Amino acid sequence: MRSGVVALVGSPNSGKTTLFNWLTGSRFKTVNYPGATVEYSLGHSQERFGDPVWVMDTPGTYSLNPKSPDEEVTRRAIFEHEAHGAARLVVSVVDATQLARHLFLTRQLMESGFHVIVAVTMSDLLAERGERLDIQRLESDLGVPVLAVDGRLGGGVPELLERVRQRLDQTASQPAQPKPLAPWDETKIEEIFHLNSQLGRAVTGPLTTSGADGSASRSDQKAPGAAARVRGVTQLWTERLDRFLLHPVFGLVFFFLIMGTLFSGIFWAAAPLMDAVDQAFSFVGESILATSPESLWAQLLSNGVIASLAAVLVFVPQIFILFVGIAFLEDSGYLARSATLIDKPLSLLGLGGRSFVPLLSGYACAVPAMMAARTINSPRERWLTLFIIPLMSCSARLPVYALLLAFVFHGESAWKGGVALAAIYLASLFVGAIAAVLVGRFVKTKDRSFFMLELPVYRQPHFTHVLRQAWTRTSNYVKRAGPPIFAFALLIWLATTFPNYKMEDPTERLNTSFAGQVAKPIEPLFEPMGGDWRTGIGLISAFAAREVFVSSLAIVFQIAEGEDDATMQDTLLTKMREAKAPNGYPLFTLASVLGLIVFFMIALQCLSTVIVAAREFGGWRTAIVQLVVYNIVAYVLVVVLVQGLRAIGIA
Amino acid sequence: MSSQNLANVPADFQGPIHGLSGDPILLARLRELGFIRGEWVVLKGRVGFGDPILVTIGNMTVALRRREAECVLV
Ligand SMILES: Nc1nc2c(ncn2[C@@H]2O[C@H](COP(=O)(O)OP(=O)(O)OP(=O)(O)O)[C@@H](O)[C@H]2O)c(=O)[nH]1
Repeated sequence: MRSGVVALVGSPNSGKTTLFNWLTGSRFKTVNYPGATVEYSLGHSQERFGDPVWVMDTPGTYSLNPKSPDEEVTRRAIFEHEAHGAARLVVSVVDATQLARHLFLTRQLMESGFHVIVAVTMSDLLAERGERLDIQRLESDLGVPVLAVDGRLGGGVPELLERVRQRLDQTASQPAQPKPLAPWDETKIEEIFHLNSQLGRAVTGPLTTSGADGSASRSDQKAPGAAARVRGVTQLWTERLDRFLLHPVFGLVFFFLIMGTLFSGIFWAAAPLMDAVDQAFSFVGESILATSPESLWAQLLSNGVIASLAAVLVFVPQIFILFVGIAFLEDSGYLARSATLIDKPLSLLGLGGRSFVPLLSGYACAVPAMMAARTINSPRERWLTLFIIPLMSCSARLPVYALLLAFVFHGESAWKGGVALAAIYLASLFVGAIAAVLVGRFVKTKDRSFFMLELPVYRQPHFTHVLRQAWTRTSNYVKRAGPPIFAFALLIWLATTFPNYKMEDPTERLNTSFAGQVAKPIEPLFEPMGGDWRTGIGLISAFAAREVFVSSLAIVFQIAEGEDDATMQDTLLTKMREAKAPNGYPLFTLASVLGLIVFFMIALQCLSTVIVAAREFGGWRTAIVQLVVYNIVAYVLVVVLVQGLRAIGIA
Repeated sequence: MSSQNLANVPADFQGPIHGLSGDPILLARLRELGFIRGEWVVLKGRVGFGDPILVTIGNMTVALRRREAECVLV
């Protein structure tokens, strides 16, 4: 295998990821949303194409002077990759229908001193218009190898690789020593652009003739000709659909319909799956415990390891379904439109259309949501988006709300709980909006925010693609969020079990455990919230993952196994109702439960989020500020709410 | 140079770009996207909330905020 990395570089949506997948045989997400690749991926080319080479896929970028964090990823990855150094060879991926613009980056790559090969994609879209490219002419004009690849069927990929290997061998003795490029000034950009447009026109000719003729008459038919250009069927359909989907009125109606469907879909479709995962893990846990109830190892395995794994995996169905929805919208090309539609209202809050996808993902889980925020090119909008993502009602809150609402609406018809849940979700939107405005006042960076979003043509989403994308993202979530959630869940179990793990009575064991020892002295902290040290343990353990609140309450209130006549939740609810605060009054009242709901809406309790936030903010400081601010604000609000309610006679 | 820009022209406008003016960072990105003097632009309309506006240039449709469209003189 040859040393050195071959980097695929190109404008957003030029087909890099598609090509990468063909080359490496991997199944990475390819999506019809500009800027979907936010991190580079490395792979080696498939064995069946001969001697493999290392290939790197990079986030789309318009130039080598980055203007957003994902573009910066590309620049760094090809100039100064920490393990591989500068890219040995760059494959500049160019959309045949956008030659004039996409060759811009090619020229920058060449001028920076990279060894470049041009790969032309989307020739089929050109053919739809009855046109073709004169590859030879493009090659001789640019002075670098040019090859066409077919992103749909994989044609041209072996030839491209052959050329890549050739170039690698030819240049082995004189590796590229690229220098960072100073930004080009206006005259230079115009000059290059005109050069590219001329070249583009010269090499694009009708399908029927053997080669395109680049006579002066062609390059002269400048502006009006460009407007009256033949449109391919894909483009025609795109225009027709856009007339409806971006219509001032119907466009918005449709937008809210789609998002509404996506949301209800997530909840309805995921609920049974989440139950199934939950039950499967409980079953395994109980079976292990049943084999040797006395053994500490069985307990560790069942209540510690298995339960912690369950804490990670219950959300997988919901996150997967959300990602399927997003992938479907992305692949079709609609997501770029939805970002456009929602840009105005979001920009009133200091955010922007590009914040939409990250915020939407935040309803599944803040971890992938924060990563998705890299496509926001304005530092200020990105910062604000990262800041308010934790307020979006992520799926980990759902079990908590479910329990608390079941407590409030005990014995009443189910729809009330449903309405209340919807209200909580809406309220979280409002809280997010308020937070964005308030926090926005403190962000003093000079605002250079810009939107400028390219709207790709509509494409029919491929079902397998969509599933694969969703799967890749879901497994990324599991890989990134899984270990910390698992580790903290395990830690909480250890803290609630030791040192007196031999004790018969679980409540006593908990009382005297490390967690109890920590929580009891700070009980005065929880009292104004309407809680006691047991609520405190629940809240502290929720830092592992919010839903752990439910299972630790179950431990705290000693839900005994074997009470088959009632479900876990019913037993827990009964115990909660019986629980007494230190002053003898009931511990869980309307006021204190409402307080808990508000606390969960605002507090940032998820440590995996904090870890990812530190990375995305580019430092621990902001992440810790975020953690502290949200928890203090949540605490103060809850105290005010609970004490206020009590003052007006609502216990 | 005319005083019209993409944000204040009538809804069915099309024509060549006369130049760009405004925040240099915005201009740099606009140029990279292909908003270059002499290029032909077609105004496609505005979305629901009146902003951004939709513009076709070359073979591409771009959504521009008004503030960005103001930089494009036509
Ligand atoms: N018709 C056609 N579509 C293609 C071709 N190559 C890629 N596509 C589609 O173009 C879209 C964008 O492709 P990607 O590979 O995700 O583009 P990318 O350059 O990686 O995009 P970013 O990650 O956003 O920078 C996808 O919907 C692909 O299915 C091609 O040769 N012909």
